[in-house]
Amino acid sequence: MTLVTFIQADGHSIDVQAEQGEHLMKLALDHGVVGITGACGGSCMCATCHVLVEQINGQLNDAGEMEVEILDMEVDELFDNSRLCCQISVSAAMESIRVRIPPNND
Amino acid sequence: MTNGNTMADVVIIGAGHAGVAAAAELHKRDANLNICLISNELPLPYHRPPLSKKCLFDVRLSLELLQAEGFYEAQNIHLHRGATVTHIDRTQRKVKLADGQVLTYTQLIIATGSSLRSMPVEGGERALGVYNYADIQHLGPKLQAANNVVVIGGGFIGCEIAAGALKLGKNVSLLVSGPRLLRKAIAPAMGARVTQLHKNSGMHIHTDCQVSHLDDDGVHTNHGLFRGDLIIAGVGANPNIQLAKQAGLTIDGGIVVNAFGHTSDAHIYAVGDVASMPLQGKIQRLESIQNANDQAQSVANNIIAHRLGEPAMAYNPVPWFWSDQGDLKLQMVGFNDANAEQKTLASDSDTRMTAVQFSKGVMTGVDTLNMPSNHLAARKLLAMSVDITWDMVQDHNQDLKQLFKHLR
Repeated sequence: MTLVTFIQADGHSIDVQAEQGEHLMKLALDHGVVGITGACGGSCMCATCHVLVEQINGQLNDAGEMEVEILDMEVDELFDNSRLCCQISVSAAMESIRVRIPPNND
Repeated sequence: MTNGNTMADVVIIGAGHAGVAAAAELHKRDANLNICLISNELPLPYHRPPLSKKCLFDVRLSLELLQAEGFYEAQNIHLHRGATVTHIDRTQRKVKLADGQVLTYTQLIIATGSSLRSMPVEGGERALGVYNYADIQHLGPKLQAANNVVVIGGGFIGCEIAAGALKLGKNVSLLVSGPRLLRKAIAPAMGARVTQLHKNSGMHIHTDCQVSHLDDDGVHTNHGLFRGDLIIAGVGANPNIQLAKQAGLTIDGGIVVNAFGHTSDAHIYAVGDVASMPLQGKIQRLESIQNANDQAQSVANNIIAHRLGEPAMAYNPVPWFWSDQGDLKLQMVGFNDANAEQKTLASDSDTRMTAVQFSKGVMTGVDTLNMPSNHLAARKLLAMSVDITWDMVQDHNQDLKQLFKHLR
């Protein structure tokens, strides 16, 4: 199990124990994290699941071409640690991860 | 609750992408609204695209919910699951459910979506289809167990299912009535390329193949008999217009709406797959997630505007769509124009392609294969009030992102 922490724009944080193979957008939706819409259902077609990765213990998969392009074109305020959380999968090599949801994420 | 009477501000029939998006937007704009959302399925409302792109091929995957379970209650949205609407009474402004409940509305949104078209041939019911989660639960295990899979239909769903089955190691035959895959949906050069790439990966594609009937032996066609231990059809969808028709609303393909989402009844709106709207000088439906979400948002805002006595805003979409087929990601934006001039942009490999459509010299549509940057740029470019010409594209090294960054 991997500990995933979502920090909402209002500062409220939500901890989720996640199984391998789950992606963060689904976890966020299942747990009602505010600010994550996931309009395209994790197909990497929109930027409504933009997060900032604040802390990672273990390995995090790199962003693919599609994700990099979407972040570049669709996100107004981009940061070095910006990711689309539908593209972040929980793996055995990931002990814990903490992500922050930027304000005005839709 | 039986024979109960509920007074609602807005009743929404259908809890697919459009229905849920409308409910969420309405609540966001006015938290005091009493909203009833009626779903004819039992599961919580879920994302549909992953069904034919992922879920069918991995039975362990669970549904991707549109909203968490607690969302509806927290947002004052009364979600009726597994409920069937039997009647819309326009004079009384009431919606009747099969269990006897009656919901009274001030505004009604019809978001009933579409249903699988069946194969219009003898034995057509032998071919299984994919539309909702129940279909996946039924079909998923059968697909895992099958060796030879026959897929009928060369549209997006047929291609997605065939490509996914191939990746599972199945022997896949795809039967297509036209000369190439995706004939009506994408640029001819792109359709030809996708057809070739799927063939290269081992898919047996039979073009100009007409199905005459299905029986115990398999699928009978003008190319002979195709035996398969699983036969799947993806031959399109029909809008669910029955309730609207019964209520006497104007129908032309789908439920006719104007640019503000109004049907022929001022209290009733229609959104998503089921709505026929004026676009590009004709009445047409758009079957896509983009349209479901954006039109629902537009109608929700127009309902709020109406309640506040403010003017409504016209819905003016730049349609976009995507399809994941094995390793191929296809992305389309704009309106298809059969008479347009087609240009193919430079790319560094066979598996990457951008086809641009120019109508009377102006860019009106862009199809991309594994070239997300051009797709995203095209979405932005087509939303701008600038006419994009071939010369402009040429001047920026045939790179649409470069052109967009220049014009921005």
